Amino acid sequence: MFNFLLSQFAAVGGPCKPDAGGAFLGFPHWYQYLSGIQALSDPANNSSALICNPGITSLNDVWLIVAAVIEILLRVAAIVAVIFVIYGGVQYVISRAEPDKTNQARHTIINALVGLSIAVLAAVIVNFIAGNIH
Amino acid sequence: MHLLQKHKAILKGTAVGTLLVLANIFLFGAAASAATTCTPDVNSPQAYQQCVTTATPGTIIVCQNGSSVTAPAKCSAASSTGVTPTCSDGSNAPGGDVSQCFSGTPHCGGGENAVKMSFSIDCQGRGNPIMDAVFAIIRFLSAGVGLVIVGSMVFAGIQYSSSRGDPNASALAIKRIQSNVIALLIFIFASAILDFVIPGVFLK
Repeated sequence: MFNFLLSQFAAVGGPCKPDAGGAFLGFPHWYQYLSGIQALSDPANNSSALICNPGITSLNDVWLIVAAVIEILLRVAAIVAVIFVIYGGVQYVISRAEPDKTNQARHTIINALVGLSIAVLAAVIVNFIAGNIH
Repeated sequence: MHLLQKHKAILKGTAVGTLLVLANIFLFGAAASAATTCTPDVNSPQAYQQCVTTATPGTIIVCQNGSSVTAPAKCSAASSTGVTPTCSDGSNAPGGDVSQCFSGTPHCGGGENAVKMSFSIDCQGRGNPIMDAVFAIIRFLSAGVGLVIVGSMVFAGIQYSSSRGDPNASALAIKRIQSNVIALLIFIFASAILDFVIPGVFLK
């Protein structure tokens, strides 16, 4: 989905792609976009299967790690927004129709949704601008 | 290997490689931008060793766990003249050359296979070597401006989401967004002016 973040860099293509299994909560690995270096799975055995380790071969590969971290942050933003919408809903329910408290709860929900849209829209817009000036 | 250990090992190897490259830049200047001149063949110990010893500055070979490449087991130190060269296990060196005393695959401290780690800072190899390296670093930094600002914007969004309707907390997030926009504008105008003054060096 966020391949557009990478469009300003040279082609990622390498000898292999690092293993992307076992992600936590669907978060990408920090080495997701790095190109891989092939290695033997069992160093002592020359006929063992080849595995793919992430490799950093150029200074610009640092930005590939940053891109993966930003993707993690976007997912965290979505999770935080959902949590605070639920929190605002609970506040609303226990406000017992007191205007101050309902107002507070409404603002909690609105802020949570505005924060989510800031995160997503900013990522798209800034990447569009910064990607076009290169 | 445990996942965390694997990550730490990769990071350590990367950091060591980076430090070695930086040391090379200061010691050898422009030579650090030299392209890779050989590809070690792990299946051929002799070719590998030759590649290790003749590697140009800027071609760094380290193991994945950060330790240096260990010579294959049977290698011995150069023998003194007049003595029949022997390998460290006592056998005669093939062709009288101790550098032929190889056995097995070159390996690293933990027993992993050695990997080549050449690190390019994207020099163009023309003009003054120092300015070449400076421009390479400027290109590296300007490639990351967009990413860093995107990251900061996403963080501001998280800050805004978690403000719970508190005006002071959301004002902090707004302030961060303002700073990001100012930073992006400064970068756009600075790079536009520099690209006008020195065309084709900074942004391409």
